[in-house]
Amino acid sequence: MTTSSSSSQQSPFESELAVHLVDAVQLDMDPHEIDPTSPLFGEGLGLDSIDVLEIALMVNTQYSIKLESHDENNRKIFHSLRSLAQYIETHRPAR
Amino acid sequence: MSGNTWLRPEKGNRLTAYLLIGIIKHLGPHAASWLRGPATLYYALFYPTVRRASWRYLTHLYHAGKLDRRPHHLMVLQHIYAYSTNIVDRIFLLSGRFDPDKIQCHGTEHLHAALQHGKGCILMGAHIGSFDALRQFGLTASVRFRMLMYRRFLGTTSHFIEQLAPDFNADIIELGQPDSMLTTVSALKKGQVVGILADRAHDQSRSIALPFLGHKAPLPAGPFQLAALTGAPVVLVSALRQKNGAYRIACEPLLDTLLTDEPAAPLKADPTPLMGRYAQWMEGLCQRSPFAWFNFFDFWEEGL
Repeated sequence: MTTSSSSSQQSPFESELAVHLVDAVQLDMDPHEIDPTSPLFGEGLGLDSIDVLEIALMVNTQYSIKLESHDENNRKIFHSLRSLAQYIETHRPAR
Repeated sequence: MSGNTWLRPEKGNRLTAYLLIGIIKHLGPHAASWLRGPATLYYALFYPTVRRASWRYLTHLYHAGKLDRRPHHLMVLQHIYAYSTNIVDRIFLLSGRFDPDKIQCHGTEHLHAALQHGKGCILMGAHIGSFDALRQFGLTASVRFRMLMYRRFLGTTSHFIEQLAPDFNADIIELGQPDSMLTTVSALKKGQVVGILADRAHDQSRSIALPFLGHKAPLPAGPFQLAALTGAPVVLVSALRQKNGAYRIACEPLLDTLLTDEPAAPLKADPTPLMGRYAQWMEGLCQRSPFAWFNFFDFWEEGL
């Protein structure tokens, strides 16, 4: 992993993903203000499971990655902007 | 938040659940029927919120022109008695001792038609009538029936389920988890039926106040947004108790045209047309069976 997990600065890919995420769940905030380490669900950004579904649909459209419901890692993947970005970066098909 | 009192399991309910389960296990299910009278008096005396919630509902129902008599206080007792009957029936239903001939299904062709689209089906109900009779209906269907619910909040229900129908747990999709909707979508994609009671707004950020019995009440937008996002057809289903103790299960489509081909983006952004139709459907049920309304809390958030 190239991203430093302690930094609260968005990496270039995290910034790109943040824009899509804010758009997908119609979050009323500047994408660049999202702390990449803060939880997406519940506390933190306050997203719910319908938002998580919309993020999954967005990830599928933008990055051609299907997030499966039975993946036991879902809670880790959707934990934060950073964990989601890392998952996409390691799983996106080579272009 | 006064409007969310139903989220907290009530001590009294839990005690009642244990008491009822104990009585059934030792004395048989019929003994539970005798308790309906005392239970009604107990609730009426010691649960002023239940009493006030019932009165508020009956008053709104009357002023909306859906109750033919002006409400009087005996009706509150009748209403609570109907709830006690519902709980006793629930025990028979969950333990598999309810006479299957006393469950009559109408409009099941709508469910079959919905399933033809291969997108599963959202079977949408309300806390009106019997949820467990609906489940009985699900058990007889040829496809897997899943139920979306808040397991951790439902004190009485979860005790009943654990004690009387342990198999049911596997079919519950727990709400309030990050992957709740991902699991739901996957179930729908497999062509399964997902049941949801869509009348209680648990999340203020995802609820919309709509007129219900003449007054605005917060209703959850989530179930309708889920329908719009997945394109899964929605079938409304109710199970109302008839005078002879049988349950009449009735299905009808939420919309005449199904949201099947393209996920309905405009409806996701603004699900109020779907929700308005749902509210009307609930009004119809309340008019038909005035005492089958089992939302004994500050439903309209007007203060009790």
